[in-house]
Amino acid sequence: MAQMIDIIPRREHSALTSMRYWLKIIWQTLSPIIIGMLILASLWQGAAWLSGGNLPTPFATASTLRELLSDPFYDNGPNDKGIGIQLLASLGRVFTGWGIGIAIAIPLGMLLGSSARLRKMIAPVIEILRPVSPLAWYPLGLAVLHNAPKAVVFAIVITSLWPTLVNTTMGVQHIPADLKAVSKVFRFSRWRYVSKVLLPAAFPAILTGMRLSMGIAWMVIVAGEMLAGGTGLGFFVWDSWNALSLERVMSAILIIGITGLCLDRLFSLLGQRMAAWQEGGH
Amino acid sequence: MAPRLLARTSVNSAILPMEAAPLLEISGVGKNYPSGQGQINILREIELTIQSGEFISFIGHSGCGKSSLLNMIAGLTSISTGTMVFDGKPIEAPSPERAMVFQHYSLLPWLSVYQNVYEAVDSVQTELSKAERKALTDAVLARVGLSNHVHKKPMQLSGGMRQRVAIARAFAVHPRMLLLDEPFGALDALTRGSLQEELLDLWSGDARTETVVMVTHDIDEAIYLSDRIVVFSDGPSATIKEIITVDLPRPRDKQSLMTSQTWNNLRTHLLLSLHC
Repeated sequence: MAQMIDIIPRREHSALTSMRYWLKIIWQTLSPIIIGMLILASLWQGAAWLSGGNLPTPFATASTLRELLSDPFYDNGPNDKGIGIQLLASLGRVFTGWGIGIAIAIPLGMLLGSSARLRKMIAPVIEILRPVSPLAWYPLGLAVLHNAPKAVVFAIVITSLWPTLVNTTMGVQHIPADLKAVSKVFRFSRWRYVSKVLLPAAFPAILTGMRLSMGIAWMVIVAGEMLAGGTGLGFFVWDSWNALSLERVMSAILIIGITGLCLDRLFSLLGQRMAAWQEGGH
Repeated sequence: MAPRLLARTSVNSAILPMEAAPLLEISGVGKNYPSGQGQINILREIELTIQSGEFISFIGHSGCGKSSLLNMIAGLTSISTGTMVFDGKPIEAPSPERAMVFQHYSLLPWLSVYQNVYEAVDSVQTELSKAERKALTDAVLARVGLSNHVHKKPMQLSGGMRQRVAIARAFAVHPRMLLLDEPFGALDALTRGSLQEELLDLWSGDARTETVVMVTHDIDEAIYLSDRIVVFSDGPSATIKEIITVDLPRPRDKQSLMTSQTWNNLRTHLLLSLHC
């Protein structure tokens, strides 16, 4: 009897300890987030009070958000589509524009990073074009493409160019001299140099550029779709404002924010994976 | 192995007639680097002739330009004055004929040990079939004792093992001349000792890589490995102070050598030469 008492509780004890341990870890991770969210919600509630009902309360927004998410993919014609369809439309444009943008920026950045002469020629052009607000390109896209959604994609392409171009150039420019010397001594072909030395060496910088490009593209898409109309989260925000439903505007803002966060996390996860792989992990 | 070693000893003295064309001929070479408005002179009036089959060490204080000279032989740095002729042709660009082992290994960190060697073999040994290239890669990695580590990444290896990979990579392209830039400078004394012996072993066992030029800080290393030691004066504007012939028979046994009179004389001579 004495033995049983001795043995059984000890096992339970260890299971309990490990559960307590995990609960503690989860609580330590989540509690600051929850507290932060509570502070935001109370500030928001206060602002809604002070605005005298012009700003929707968090509770009103939450119930609208639940309603929107309950049927995200309904389609009742051109001006009445579910939030999921709008989100996918925006994501589709962002990825198309961003994809074209980085497909131009990465090879161009590799060239610029490899040639100081080319850098001197192209740098002033980039410095002039880079600070231009992405939406300033929208009319140009409209004039050439005669299509509002495509013009938005065009603006995203231009937007996505700069961070990736600048970071790729820097990454290639700072490839260690020793590695360049190795490629020369062992007479690496251009292709071998690019695939085995240049791209892996510059990859962290290129990934940072791609991440920054994606961040800006996601900001620009909402503004662009407000101008272009039709579909997308930007259109949804503007349409909701015209229908005087600020609850829907706030809901859309939350969705835009969370999607942006997820996209960013995706890239940082990819970056960590690549770094681990380069150092011989898995 | 032994007959091969004996054969090498005789290369310098007997087989090669004195009038044989040297492998490398450096005459009147100088190096200037731009600095501010003017130029700063690193090296001046370097005269050095290296015969095929020799093991040469460059020794001198930091900043004396010995690494610069090695880089110029490699073709990685341009010469400012003078001429540098390798195997009858002026040196204009890097070439696998003058393969280099760098102080900090210079392995590609994202490639495995095997791939690091294979990329060099695949790039240079174009007359070999794919199977032969793979066999060669396996063989050189086995020679430096890394057969069990071929799938590891450089970051997972110790400094000594990384430098073994770099040495294997250089030998795998069968260079006429092997250039080593302080190859063991970053290693502990024990690892350094065993790598010195492995280097000698590879050099004497490989009929194609006849000539070695090595930059070093270490007097004992220079004596143990070299046929001739090139002593540099202090920089800037350094030049060759003297060239010492190491008249010790090969194969050399470190332990018995270190107690010999010749060794001590050379050591004292070098110490004095470097400290005045």
